[in-house]
Amino acid sequence: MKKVFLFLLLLSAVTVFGQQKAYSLKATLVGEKDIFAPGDMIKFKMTYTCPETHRMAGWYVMGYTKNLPASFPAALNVKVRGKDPNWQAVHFTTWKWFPKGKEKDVVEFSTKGWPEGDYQISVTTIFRNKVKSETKTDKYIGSDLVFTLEK
Amino acid sequence: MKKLLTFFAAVLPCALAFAVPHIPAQPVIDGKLTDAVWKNLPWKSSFAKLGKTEQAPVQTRFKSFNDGKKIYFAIECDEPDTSKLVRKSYSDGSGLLWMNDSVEINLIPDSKLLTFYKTMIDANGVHTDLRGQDDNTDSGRYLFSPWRSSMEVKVRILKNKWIVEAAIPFGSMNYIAANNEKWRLNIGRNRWVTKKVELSGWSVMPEPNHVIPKAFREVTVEKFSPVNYLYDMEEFKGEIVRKNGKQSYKVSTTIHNNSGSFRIFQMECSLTDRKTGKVYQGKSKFHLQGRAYRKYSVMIPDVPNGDYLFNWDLNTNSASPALLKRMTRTVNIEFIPLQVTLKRPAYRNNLYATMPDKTIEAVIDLRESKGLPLTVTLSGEGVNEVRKIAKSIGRNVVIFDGAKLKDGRYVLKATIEKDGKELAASVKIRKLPYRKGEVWVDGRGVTHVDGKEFFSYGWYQSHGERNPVYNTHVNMARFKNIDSAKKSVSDSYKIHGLKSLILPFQDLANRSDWSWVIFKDPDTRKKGLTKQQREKIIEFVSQISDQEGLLGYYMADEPEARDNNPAWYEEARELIAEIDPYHPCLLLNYGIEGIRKYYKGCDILLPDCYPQYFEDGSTSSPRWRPSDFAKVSTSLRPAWQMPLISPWPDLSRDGKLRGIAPTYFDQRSQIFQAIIHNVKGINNYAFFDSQRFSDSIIGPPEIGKILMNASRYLLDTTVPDGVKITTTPHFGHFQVGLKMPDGKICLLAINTSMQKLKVDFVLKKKFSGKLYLEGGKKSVKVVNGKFSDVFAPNETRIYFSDNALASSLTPVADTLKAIEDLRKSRKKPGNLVGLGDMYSIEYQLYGKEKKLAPGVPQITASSDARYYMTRETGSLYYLVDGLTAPNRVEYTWKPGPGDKKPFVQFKLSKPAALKMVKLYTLNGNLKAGQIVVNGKSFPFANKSGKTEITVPLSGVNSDTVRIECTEFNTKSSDPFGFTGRLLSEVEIY
Repeated sequence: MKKVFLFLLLLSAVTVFGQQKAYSLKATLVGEKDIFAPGDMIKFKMTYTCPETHRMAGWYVMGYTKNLPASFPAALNVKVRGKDPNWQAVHFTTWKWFPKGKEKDVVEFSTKGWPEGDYQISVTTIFRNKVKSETKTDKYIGSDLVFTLEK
Repeated sequence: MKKLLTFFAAVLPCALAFAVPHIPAQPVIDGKLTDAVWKNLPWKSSFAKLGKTEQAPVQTRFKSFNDGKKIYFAIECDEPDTSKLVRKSYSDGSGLLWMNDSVEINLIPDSKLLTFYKTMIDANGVHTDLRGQDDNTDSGRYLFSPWRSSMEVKVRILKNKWIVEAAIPFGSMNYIAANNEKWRLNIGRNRWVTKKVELSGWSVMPEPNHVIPKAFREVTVEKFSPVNYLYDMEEFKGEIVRKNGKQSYKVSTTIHNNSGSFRIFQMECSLTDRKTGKVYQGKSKFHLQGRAYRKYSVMIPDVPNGDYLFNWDLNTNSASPALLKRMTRTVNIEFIPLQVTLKRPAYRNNLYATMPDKTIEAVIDLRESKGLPLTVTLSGEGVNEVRKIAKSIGRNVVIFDGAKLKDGRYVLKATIEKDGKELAASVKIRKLPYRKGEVWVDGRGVTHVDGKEFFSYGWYQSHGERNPVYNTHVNMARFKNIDSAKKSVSDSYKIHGLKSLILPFQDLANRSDWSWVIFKDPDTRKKGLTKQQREKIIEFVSQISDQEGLLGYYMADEPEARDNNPAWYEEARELIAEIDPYHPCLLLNYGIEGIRKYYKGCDILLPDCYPQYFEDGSTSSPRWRPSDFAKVSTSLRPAWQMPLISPWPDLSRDGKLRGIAPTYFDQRSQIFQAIIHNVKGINNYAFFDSQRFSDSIIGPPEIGKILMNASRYLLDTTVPDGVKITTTPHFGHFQVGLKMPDGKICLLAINTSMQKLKVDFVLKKKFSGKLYLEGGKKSVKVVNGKFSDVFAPNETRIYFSDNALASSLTPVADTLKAIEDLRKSRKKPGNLVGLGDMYSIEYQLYGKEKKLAPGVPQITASSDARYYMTRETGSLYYLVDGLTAPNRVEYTWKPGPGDKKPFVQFKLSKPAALKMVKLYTLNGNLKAGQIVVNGKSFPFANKSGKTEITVPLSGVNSDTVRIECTEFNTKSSDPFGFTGRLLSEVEIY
């Protein structure tokens, strides 16, 4: 009995791990350049994998203050969240949702009002089960975009 | 009133801050100044002569602004006739560029003035960039190192002016967070069109010197923020990477982002070949959070072996990248897959007959093909010995017995075979027949003559009578022919006991002047040896090399001062070593940069380190500077050192302090610091002008006794980490070294500060017992390697475990007393004209400028036969300095040729009742004459040829005494010329 139990435990761990590996995301800027003007739309492509059971349901972008120009929060008049300076963040967009069957892999966001400087923006996507389930199986996967804004 | 106005006119502009406005414009740097941004900016002018408030007669003006990334300058130099501009060619980075018509831009972002940046731009448009660092002595002096400004510059020469347009990136300078918009700025100019150089500057300088940062004007560099430039690059590493037959260079560094902001960098790494100028680059992009650091690597592909100037630039991620930080260094890329070097013999790969150890120890380094069989053969003179290593490793060692080889030439070759291809490397070895007086250097850097350790100690150029402590002199003569050269070397050795270091570059053109044609310096030393130079070197060296009195070849004296090409000396050294393997080549530099640049041109480095001493106890360089020199020179070559024994300069730059000859403590400090850091020979500068001063007369021979008696210790290598010390109060430049040949102790300890220090010593050797100071009477008790002692300011102490040796040396206190006794004896009570031990400047003031201090007699003569040293001062004031039997002929007087009625006349500062005149005449040269006072004659005769003549006077009251010489001998027959001189000293009572 003990052996069967251990086998099942191992199997579930492998299954979970395997499922983790099945999710991936790589966000890349569209085009060759990584230098834009403040106010430009930043277009990027999301290359991702997920299990057959799931689809990419939405995305949003945010930035940790350590990856932004120091003047960013004041320029956009947004609040800095968090106490640990390593993880203080600024959220400046809301979730963008894809209706079922209308998932896109190239999306964009605006840099209107953003100050000049260097940026590392965190893109977060949410993967959801295609079939509604009682059990929550949402998966959040992130990737970074690095670019410069200069006039 | 006029003086007040002039003063304020000079000072007031300093009080007003000048703005370097922020204008977002980027002019085209073409020297035309036609861009709109220049038109609206005002000129700044009123350049003053350095050291004065008066304006320079020919003016300079400039404009400046910044765009947040660079600082821009437009400089106009008026010049009535620009065809006369001095525009010589200097090597890249030469500090001599200021000797062309040039301007100097000085920038200081540091409010504490600890560092500043200077770029010199000459009328050719060539620039030399320097970074000045405060030398930490609170004396306002700076040490310079090369800087790379990345300046864009263009010079345009018009009919009556020349123009400089320049742009310097902010990122080429270093900043700290505390820096802000407040900078200091000065523009200087060097104008050589005039007969005497005209130095001027925008800031009023208190003395004729461009390097006085505290006098530079304050400026506001608008909108400048150091935050944009707070990056550091550390722990640089470069390595050769080889793959598929191609060679790349991988560079790594740890980058610190201290700016507080996330940053994306465009990285550009470049290698510029120093010979061809070809550039190899590697680029990369990366990002780093603020207050974070990370190690980064960049690969520069397809880089051949060579000497390179390497730059690592961090630029902004921008369409027009701006420099944020630069690291510059020289790198030598040399991939040698298989390399052979000889550990033994250590010098020139030569085996000398008098070498006790004739082992050939070869080290074979493998960078590829490790694990394969390695074959090492020694062949030549009918010999073919083989050593095989079945499985090679990275570093392989092979031994041959050189003792059993015949004299001749051999080749030691290492080979590896891989895939049918042979990889090989070899070195040449010479086994030499015995030559009397042969000179070689052992693995410790110690010179040997005829197989015996030789501690070279002597003087630069001139010297005195034979003294057993001196065995060497530097002979700078350019000989008329080979016979005169041989005679000079022979006489120095046989008469004075001195081996000679001679110039190997001799025209031998039977000229009596000292001019060079074939070896003209610097004109003929810019490239490699000419055919004629090679022939002359072969001709001279092959004929002089068998002289027993020859010690070595003096290749150059401060070649960096004349922008000589180091390759010229390297080629010359190689040629000389081939013709004469028995004598080393020595080379002298005045600075650490010069040592690094020229060391390959010699076998032994002999730098001159001159701290410069002044009457208030201050020095121009820190008192531990001799240690800095010795550490660098001994890391590159066996090394000797040339300390300063003469007074130099006569006056400080600001004219406020008189220069002095180094005291006995100063001499000891210089010499024993060098020995602590493994210098193995000392050559003092300089006999001819130091022998006027009591410390310099007595000090060097006393030090010589220490060097000769304790040479076994002093020549030994200092034990690494042999001593740990703690000083109270804390002082970081206390110098200490432990020498321990055969287990006996010699400890050298030097306080290079001017404060009293308590020092706690911990020796590596757990010795318990007594250590004795010079003289053997004073000692310290050491327990298990520990003891404490108190040092006076500037004091050097030498401790010995061998009391017999310590007792053979003169106690320091006795030498100090002897110096003080000599000083006192030079100013005799009652002598109305005696001045005693004078300052060097006083010989100038009285003899040349006729500016007499109160109480100083006015001395005139019918004529005065002068030497080079006394060509400006004359000899007369050497007659009142208290040296009755001087060491140098220059300190004596002789009438000029054709002077049939020679006399010397003294006019006292006030009349006195005169009782006696005492005359000192060398070798009894003055035979007869008379003293004339108030028209009355007091004759004297010296038929017996005494050296002292006493002439009683009758107490006649006068202020004027005339010494008339009626019978004398002025023919010179001794090597120093003393036999032709009449008077060495005059005393009037």
